[in-house]
This record gives sequence, structure tokens and C-alpha cells, in this order.
Amino acid sequence: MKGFIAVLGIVFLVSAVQSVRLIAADARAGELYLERSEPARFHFMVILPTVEDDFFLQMWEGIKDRAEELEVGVELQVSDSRLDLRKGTAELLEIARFSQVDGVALYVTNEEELRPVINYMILSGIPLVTLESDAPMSRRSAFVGSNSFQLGQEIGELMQEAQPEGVRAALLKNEFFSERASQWSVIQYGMLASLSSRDEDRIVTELKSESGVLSSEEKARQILYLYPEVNVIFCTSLVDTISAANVVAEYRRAGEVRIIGYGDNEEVRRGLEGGYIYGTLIRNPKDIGRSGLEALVDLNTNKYVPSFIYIPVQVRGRDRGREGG
Amino acid sequence: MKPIRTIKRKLLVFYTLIMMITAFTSMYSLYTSLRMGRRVELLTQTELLMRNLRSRLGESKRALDEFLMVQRDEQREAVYSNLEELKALVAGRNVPFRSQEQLMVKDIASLIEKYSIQMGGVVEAKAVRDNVGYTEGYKAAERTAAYIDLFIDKVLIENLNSRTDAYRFFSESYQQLQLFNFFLILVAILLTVMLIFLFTDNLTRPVVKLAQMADELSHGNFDVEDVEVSTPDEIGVTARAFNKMKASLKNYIREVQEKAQIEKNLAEQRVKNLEMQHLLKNAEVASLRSQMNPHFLFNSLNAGVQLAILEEAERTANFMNNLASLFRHNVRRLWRVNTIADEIKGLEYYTQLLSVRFGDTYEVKMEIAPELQKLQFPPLIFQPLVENAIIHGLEHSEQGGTIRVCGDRRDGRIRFRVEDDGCGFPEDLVEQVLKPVSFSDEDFSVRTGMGLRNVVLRLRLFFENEGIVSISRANGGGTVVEIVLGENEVGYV
Repeated sequence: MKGFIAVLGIVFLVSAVQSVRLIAADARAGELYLERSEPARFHFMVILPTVEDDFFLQMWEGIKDRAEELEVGVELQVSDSRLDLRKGTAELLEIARFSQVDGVALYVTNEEELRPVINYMILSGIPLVTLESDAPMSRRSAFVGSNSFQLGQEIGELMQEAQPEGVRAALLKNEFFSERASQWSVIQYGMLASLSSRDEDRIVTELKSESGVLSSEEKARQILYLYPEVNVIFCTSLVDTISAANVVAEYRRAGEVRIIGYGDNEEVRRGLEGGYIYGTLIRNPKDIGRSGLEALVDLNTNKYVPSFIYIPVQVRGRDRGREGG
Repeated sequence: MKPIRTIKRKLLVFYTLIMMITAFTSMYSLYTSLRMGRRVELLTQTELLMRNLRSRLGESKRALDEFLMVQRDEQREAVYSNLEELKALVAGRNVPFRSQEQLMVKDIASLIEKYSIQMGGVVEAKAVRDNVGYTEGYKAAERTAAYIDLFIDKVLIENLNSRTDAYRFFSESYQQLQLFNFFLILVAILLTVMLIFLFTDNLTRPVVKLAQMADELSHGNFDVEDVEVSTPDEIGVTARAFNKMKASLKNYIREVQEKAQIEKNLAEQRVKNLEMQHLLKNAEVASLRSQMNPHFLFNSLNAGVQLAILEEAERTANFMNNLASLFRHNVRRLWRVNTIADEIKGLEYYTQLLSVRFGDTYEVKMEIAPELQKLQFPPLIFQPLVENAIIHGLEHSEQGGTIRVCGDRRDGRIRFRVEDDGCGFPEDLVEQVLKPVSFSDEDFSVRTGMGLRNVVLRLRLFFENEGIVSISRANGGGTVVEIVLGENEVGYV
């Protein structure tokens, strides 16, 4: 009987220890749900146009991870659908100013309209960092993202590689790039700088795609139908890239028309392997997010922050992979 | 011996243990339930705050509208009062946290502060009739209120998302904890029952053993085995004390029994002593009687000796003189230590008398070893034996006979023999002579005249040896009376 009691005693003790461990584990997990988090050193607001897009989602992940490491609070604000996209950003900036946040990280959707608001934020003593999409004419504190001119050059070189006989390119520009005329212009300058090295290379057309797969496919079909001479399509978003590749395959012009994409996911990698996509420019949104947050912290701790913080862009093809930007 | 672990301590440990097991399981159940309740409360806390904020925001706006319409102090106070209440709802929330929801609550708190200032500006502008100022201020306050409203929505959406996730997590977690709790309670119940059983058994078993042993002892059975209780508590101490008590009682009873035996032996010894005293008394009486006769006879014989000398009867005088010497010898030996040498001397006197009486009819030969001369010996032993040999063995013989009195030391034993070559001693008489001595024995009485019996009894008493004398038939047909003594039985002068 003593042996049985000893076994029961051990079982009880183990259960007791296990119960305490269970409670502790549950308490740790429960904290996440109860939002009873630790106080933060700073309060930053991050304003992004969307988080449904993989690029912005990764950017936000990078910001969140770094915020956790630096023990700062980061509030994500997406331009509210009830508000105008541009005005929504301006209003969020005003709210950030009223809230006396310690800094704002912003993806500039319309530089002209936002410039005065950005300037007012800076005058109010709130540091503002632009992420990937810049407002170079404003008084923003710093820009973190790709070097647009170099990015354009990379795209031009990739096009020339794809079509050594001569590039006749169509540019499928998504709505975010449409809002950022200056940045897009710089990319185009870079692209033209590369293409100008050969007389036969030229840009045939430039189309703007709305958000969503339907719009992307429609624009890709439009290119193939209206501009049959086009042999390179450059896309500026992940959705556009996959949609264009699908359309080209559908029209059995995969070998003839090369797709140069933007972004990286499983579909794109499959396209690269299958030859449907010639190459892709991979930005590093996580690093952009992380570096943007670091810049905000540095600005709040009076450290030197350069006006431009460039994050390298990776160029990936079926048989190649290198960093640029 | 003081117990190492007392029953009190044992009970305390036991009850504490049981209490701790019960308390732990109860506390665990209580804690999980309370925590679930607390979590639900925390989850709804933000929602309640947002609802209150929205309600208070609406009231503050209505209060401002009323003030703008009537411009009374009462309404002005209502505006400020509402604003204060609004601020009170978010008091202390204007600090940054690392969660999205709480950061937005911080935004709301800052916006309310801004809204409060703007509302105050509107009231003041209206008071001084600054129509442009109050109109602009009113618009700004309305915009800020819209921001607050927007952020309340955002917080509620964020809260709803987190609550949905949280509810799923908590529900699963609570189910797991409850299941584990059930298992824990089951184990605790089993453990408690087993512990109670074990403890009760441990406590009562030695007591039952003790009771059984006490019952055995009460029936006089001291041979029961010791109670084996190894526990170092009071019961163990009692059991060990009980075992000691049992052993002590057993020893005491054995001592009492030994003492009783000794007393019994002593009583027997006393009886023997009494017998001895009785015998001595008889002997004394016999001695006194014998002293009376010998003294009278001795004096008479001396007178006879003198008369025979006067009448010149030399042989008679010699006979009478020997007779007188014999009597003198016998009488004198009664008050001094007697030896073999004395016995031989007395026997010589007796032999000379015999030769006068019977001439050469009887011959007495004495062959006593010289080293036995000084051996202590009771008086009047050999003479009666020789006399007895003549009376019973040789008296009826026409040609007389020879009596040999021998004494030697052989094989560590001293032997005296009185042997005749007569007709032998009757068997029935031998049995009567050698029968054991007893207190009622009347053979000591001088009246019996049984000299041989007297000799045997005195020898037995003197040497304290019942088998000292044996009577047997000699090879030549006569009687042999043999006295055998051990070296340790004799003494020398």
C-alpha cells in the first residue's frame, strides 16, 4: 500500500507542478490576448495605404519585430476606407499631431497634398520618416527605401538581358506608383539611362492598373492586344506580375514576351522556374520597416540620421541572383 | 525514553499534509475560475470604456449646443462638467504602451484633451461674442470629435478582433485547465483516502497489539513474544516500556519462585537439624545413662581389683583391671575428640576381657594402617561390631572363630572391615539394620539394645553419608561389615 501511496504522491506532485506550469504558460499566452503589455519608451504611428498587399504586410512585420526588440509602441494606421485615401492620410497625420506621438513613419501616397501636413508635423516637433515612397520636397526627417534611380537602372539592364535584340517595353504601373509621380519619374530616369545605351530599346506604353487581379489581367491583355510589338512587360506589383505572366501564358507568348516583375512569393518563384517570368526585383520590405523604426528611435534619441537610408534591391532571374539598388 | 516523533507531531504533519493537498486543489480550481472571470472582465473593460466615452462625448456636444442656444451659466457648467467627466474616463491613459489597442486609447485620451481645449475655446468665444472664433472653434471641435469617434470605432474593432481570438484561446485553455483540474482532484481524493487509511492503520495496529499482549499478561502468560513496534512515537515508547515491564515481571516471579524453593530447602534443613538435635538428645540421654552405669561399675571394679590383690587372686585382679580400663576408656571418650587410635585402644581392652572370659576361643586380629591412626572417628564403633560378630556369628560355634578388624587406604578411599568367620548375619536383620534413618526411629533408644543399628546410624550421622556401611557375607561364610569413606569426608587431628 505504501508503494501505491508513493506512486500517487508522485503523480500528485508532478500534477501540481504541471498545473503551475500550465497556469504560467496560459498566463503568458493570455497576456497577448489581454493586451496588458509593457509600457513603451516611445509612441510611433505608422501610416500605410494597406496591409492586404504582401509588400506592406512584410513592411509592417519588420516594424513590429523591431519595435518589440527596441521596446517601443507602434500604432499602425491604414488610410481609412471611409475617408478619402489622401485625405485619410492627412487626417491621420493631424490625429498623430494631436496625440503628440514621438514620430511617424509614412508611406507617401500623394506628395503634393501631404507635403504641407508633413512640414507642419516637423514644425510641431514630430519626426517623420518616409518609407519606400518619398516626399523629397517636404521637410521630412529621413527617407528609408530603395534608391529609385538605381532601381530604374536595374530594371533597364534586366530588360536588355531579356531581349538582347531590342527592348520594346510596356510598363504596368500600379495605383501606389501612380500616386508617387516623382518617385516613378526617378525610376523611369534610371530605366531610360540603361536603355539609352542601345538605339533599338524603347518604352512602348505605360498603363496604370487598379488594385485587384481583374484589373491587372485586363491591363495585361490590353497590352498584348493593342501593342503586339511589346516584348517586355515590367510590372510594379506582385499581383500585376503574376496576372501578366498568366495572361502571356494564356496567349502562348511566353517565350516571346518577357515578364519582369516586382516582388517575391511562391507563385513568382514558380514562374521564374517555369520561364513565365524572366526576372523580378525584390525589395526588402522587412528591412525597410526595421530601418524606418530604427531611424525614428535615433531621431528621438538625438542620434545622427542620414536623409536617405537606402535598402538594397535584389534582382532575381532563373539563373541569376544579385543585389542592386 | 523520550519519543523522537510524537503522535501530536505526527497528527499535525498528517492534517497539514491533507489540508495542503485539499487546499492546493481547491485553490487551483478557484484560481482558474477567478482568472477566467477576470479575463472576461478585462476583455469587456475596453468595450465598456469606449461605450462610455461615446456616450459622454455625445452629451458634451449636446451640452455645448444648449449653451450656445441659451448661454446660461448652468449650461456652461454642464459643458465643463461633461468635459471633466470625459477626461476622467481616460485619466492616466495618456502613456504609451506596446499594444496597438492601448496606443489608440492613448490617442483618444490626447484627442479628448484637445477636444476639451477646443470646447473651452468655443464657450469663451461665445461668451465674448466672437462669432468667427466660436464658429471656427466649433468646427475644429466637431472635427476632433469625429476623430475621437473614428478612433473609438477603431479601438472597438481592434478589441473585437482580439476578443474573438482571446475567447477562442481562453475557452480552449479553460477546458484544458478544467480537465487537468478534474484529474488533480481525482488524484488528491485517492491520495487523501490512502493516506488516511495508512495513518489510521499505523496508529491503531500497535495499540491493538499492546491490548492483546496486556490481555495475555493478565491471564498470567509471561511467555508471549515482545510487541514489535518500531515507530519512534509514544506508542513505540509504551510498547518498549511494556516489553520491559513484562520482562521485569517475569524476572520478579522467577526470583520469588527461587526464594520459595530456598525457603523450602531451608525448612527441610531445619527438620534435619531438629532430627539431629533429637538424635543428639537421645545420644546424650544414652550417654548419661551409660555414664551412671560405668561410674558405678568402674568404682565397683576398682574395689574388686583391690580386693583381688588383697586376696592374692592375680588373674582376677588383672581381669577386673582390664574391665575397669575399658569402662574408663569408654567413659572418657564421650567428652573428647575420638580417633582410630582410641578405637584400637578400646578394642584391645575388650579383647583382653574376651580372652579372660573365653580363653583362646575367639581371636581378634587388628590390621589398621598406621597413617589412619589419627583419623577422626565416632566412638564405640569397632567394639560393638566385634561384640556383634561374637554374639551373632561365633557364639554358637564350638571351636570359636577369628574376627579381623582391618583398615587401609585404597584407590582414594578409606575402608574399614570387621570380618568374622562365623555362621553369618541373618538377612532380615541386615535389612532392619541398614534401613534409612528417621526422626521417629527408636533404635537409638538404649532400651532396644540393638548395638549394630546404633553404630550404623551414628556413622551415617557423623559422616553425613547414608551408604557408608554395608553388610555382606564373607567368602568363608562369615559376615563382613564394611565402612567406606571418601578422602573428602574424613578429618585428622
